[in-house]
Amino acid sequence: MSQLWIMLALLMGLAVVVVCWPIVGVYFKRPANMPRVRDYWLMSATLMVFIFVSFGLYAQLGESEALARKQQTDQMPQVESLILQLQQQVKKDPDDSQALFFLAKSYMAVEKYGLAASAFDQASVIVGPNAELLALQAQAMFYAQGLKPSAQVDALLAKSIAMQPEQATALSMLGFMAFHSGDYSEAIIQWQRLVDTHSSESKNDTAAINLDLVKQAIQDAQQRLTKSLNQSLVVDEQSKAQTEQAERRQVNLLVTIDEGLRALVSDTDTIFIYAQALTGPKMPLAAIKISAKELPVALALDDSNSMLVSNKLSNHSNVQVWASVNFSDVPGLQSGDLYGHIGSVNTDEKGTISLIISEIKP
Amino acid sequence: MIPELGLFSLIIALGFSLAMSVILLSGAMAGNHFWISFSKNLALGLFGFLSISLIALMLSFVGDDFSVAYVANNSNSKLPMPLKVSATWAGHEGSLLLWVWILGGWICSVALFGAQLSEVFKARVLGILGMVATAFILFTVLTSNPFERLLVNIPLDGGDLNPLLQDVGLIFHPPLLYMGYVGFAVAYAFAIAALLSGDLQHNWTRWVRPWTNCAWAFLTLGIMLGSWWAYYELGWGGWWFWDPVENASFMPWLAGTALIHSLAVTEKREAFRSWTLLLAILTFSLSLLGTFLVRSGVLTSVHSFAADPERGLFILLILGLAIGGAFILFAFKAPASKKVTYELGSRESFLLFNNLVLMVILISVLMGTLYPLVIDALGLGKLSVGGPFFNSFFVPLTIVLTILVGLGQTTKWRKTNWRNLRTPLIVVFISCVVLSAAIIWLANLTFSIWAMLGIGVSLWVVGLSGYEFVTTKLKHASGWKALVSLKPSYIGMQLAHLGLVVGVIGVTMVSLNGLSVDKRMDVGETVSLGQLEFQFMSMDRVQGPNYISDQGTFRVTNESGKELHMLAEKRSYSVGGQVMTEAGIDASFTRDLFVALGEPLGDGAWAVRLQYKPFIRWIWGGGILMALGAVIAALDKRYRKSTTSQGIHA
Repeated sequence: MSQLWIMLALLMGLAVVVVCWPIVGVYFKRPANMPRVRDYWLMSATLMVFIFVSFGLYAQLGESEALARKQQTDQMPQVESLILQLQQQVKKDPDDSQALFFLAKSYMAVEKYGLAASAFDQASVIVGPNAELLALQAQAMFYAQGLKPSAQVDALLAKSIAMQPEQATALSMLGFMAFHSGDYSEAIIQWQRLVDTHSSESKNDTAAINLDLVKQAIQDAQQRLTKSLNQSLVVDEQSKAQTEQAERRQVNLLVTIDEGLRALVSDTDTIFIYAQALTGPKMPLAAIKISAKELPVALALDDSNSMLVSNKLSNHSNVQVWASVNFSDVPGLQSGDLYGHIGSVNTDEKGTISLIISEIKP
Repeated sequence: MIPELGLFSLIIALGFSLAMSVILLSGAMAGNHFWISFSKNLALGLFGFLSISLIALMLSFVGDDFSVAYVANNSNSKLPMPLKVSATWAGHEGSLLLWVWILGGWICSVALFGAQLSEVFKARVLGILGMVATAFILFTVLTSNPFERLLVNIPLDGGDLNPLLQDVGLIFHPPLLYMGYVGFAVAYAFAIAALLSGDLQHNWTRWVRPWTNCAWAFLTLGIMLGSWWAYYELGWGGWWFWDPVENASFMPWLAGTALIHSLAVTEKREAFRSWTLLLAILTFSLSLLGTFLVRSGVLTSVHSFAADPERGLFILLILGLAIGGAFILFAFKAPASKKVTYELGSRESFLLFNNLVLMVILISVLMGTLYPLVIDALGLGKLSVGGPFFNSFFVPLTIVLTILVGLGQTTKWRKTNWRNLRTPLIVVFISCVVLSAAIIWLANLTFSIWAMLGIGVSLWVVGLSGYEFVTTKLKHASGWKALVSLKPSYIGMQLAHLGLVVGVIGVTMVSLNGLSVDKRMDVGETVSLGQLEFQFMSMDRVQGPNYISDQGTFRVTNESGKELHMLAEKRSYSVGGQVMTEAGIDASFTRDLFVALGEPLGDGAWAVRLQYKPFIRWIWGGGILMALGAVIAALDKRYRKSTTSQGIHA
């Protein structure tokens, strides 16, 4: 940039020479009517004004500063060329841990995380176990795996934290991974630890971590945590109410037998009274076994008579109910067995329903 | 860096022009020779730094520096090199830089070649020119900086030069026009300097004549080039449109023509003093008005003036100062009329009539140009004043003017002996009538009173010039001796008047005997135009450097059966996507054949305009002769005689 100012100064110099040439002429020729001293003073003052106004106007209208900034950024090596240079350096001296470190960082900048992880790995092989390198390697790997945790990443972070419990990158990563998996409280814990251990003192490895950003992340995690807690509370209450309501479900029956069929049944015959789902498996939802001599009988079918844990009567708002006299003692109606059936009963209704055994299975 | 150096040079040039106006004017007022001794260096410095600035802008174009906004808007990396150079003045900012550079050139010439002027008077002239330069450089730097940068989002390629301007005509048209416009600043400065010094008894007009002639010659060439460019580039074969932009250059030309003649009277006879001063001021004022009209955007639309009021107001301010100041100065210091006697039939009278006619034309053109602008500005609607209005006064007045030209150069200063002149005038008049009728009949032209008048007045000027040459120049010497002894000012005058005649013949012929037809033509079809036959031979697609062209080939058969081929193009420019018509023109001394492609009409057919334009080249040829005449007249030794001994002093 100074080159531009030198050129501008040269132009101004040329202008001054052009203006002043007659004075030189006067000096050498010494004409009869020599200029007065006042003329020289006026001339010098005019020249000064000329120079100052010119530079002042240029400072206002010219783009020298903007141009300088632009040239500076133009001259800054692009990340790609920097990578190329570092690769050549590493090739020349494979033990140059610093070159490897910067190469890995440059790879991170251009999102080549796999290459970055292996470069960090190489660097830590040369330098020996180092908490920061391990954390950076874990970070590169986590990104390379598409933000998925893995045992290797966990191990690297654990090792890093074991070596240096307040390692900034490691804490940041642990927080981030927890946050990413939805474990906001864990994320808050890790990040808070990071803020607590690093806000008071400046440490080298925090240079790359902006504590304000971490604090913002903590706030974000807290908001999300509160939201999810509120949501789970609502869910709990809803399900509790539903359970209570379901647990109250039952079918009150008064089971009798048709007088015409009464003669066919002996007192010792077994009567099955059961509820079935309207659709789906035929397995009874609740069942009671009595002997024929107990008839007529009032009873209730509910979850206490349930046969399956997974499919209870309380799960259904409507069921069909059966009462059957099985002469063969085999579950399921056989030909000649007697039965009574109601196609649909509302389990939430508390009234007693009459179920009459009045049919014979053909 | 180059654009920054260009800007800085422009700023230094501003310093030079400011120093010129302050140091030289105060030096002249105080009679301080030390201050006046800076005049040459200041003028050289001004021109030198303006040159550096202009070269810097050119280099920015040549080097495709699209970080310069003006380059990005007016150029493209694919543009051929000569057009990149000419694109330097294709837009507003570059045009202004060229304008001030040319002014710098004129200033430098006055400083270097004005040796016959007294130091004090020259300092005064240069000081006034410095003021004009200061105003325009300030305008350029503050409102129209051509070096303004785009340092964020620099375009990879430029927006391209308007295809209309991608032409050799553009390379020369603006510089020539500006040479004319700006050249009149010299006459203006001389007039103001004479008024300021208050000593108008001495013949300042002699010194200003060559400068005025040169400026007028450049303006003539610029206008002619513009007309020629419009003829072949705009695509439809017109050569003058009475367009406001054309009128903006034509008005100072008319005033300049009047000034040249008025200067002659003042120099020779010391008559018309005040009138000449007024004309000098008026001519430059009209040049400024032309610049204002074109550069402020007023012409495209009154509203575009409002879009950039800063520029418009700035030029208006310059106009106000230059014109208003000059007229106020004129009102207070104009010389009292000196009694110079001349008779009604003298050359002075005819030159006065000539001035009157020119002023009537000028005022009519001015009205026709400004009236629509005023109506638009007042919100009273849009109207356009077209060719019929202008032609209605221009054609008859030009005929009157041409008749006066013949009479003016035949008559004598102060008093003409009409008794001696009566017979030759009658003979020439009758010859003109007979000859023009004969020409119309022999050349098989359409007979009309306008054709008779056009050809007649041309012959009138030629006849009377011949008579005057024979009776005065051949009186004392014969043959070659008489020719060799002719003074440049005389040769120049005759050439310029001959140019007028040639131009009048051209206009008459092309207007009254031209043929034109618009047809739908399929490939293979033949159309007749008079005795000519145009056959549409083929249509090809051709790739140019920055355009793709549909190129139609036409075979033309003339009355004698001779064949020739013509190419007419429709170009589509790749960057801006503009479509341009490139007419096919077969030019010759006595006629042009013109073929232009219109729109494709489907099925391979095209709308085609075919034209036969007799003597059209004579219009521009006449302009060139006029300009040549003005330059030759400026070379007269009389103007270079030193008058320092009797020069003007403060």
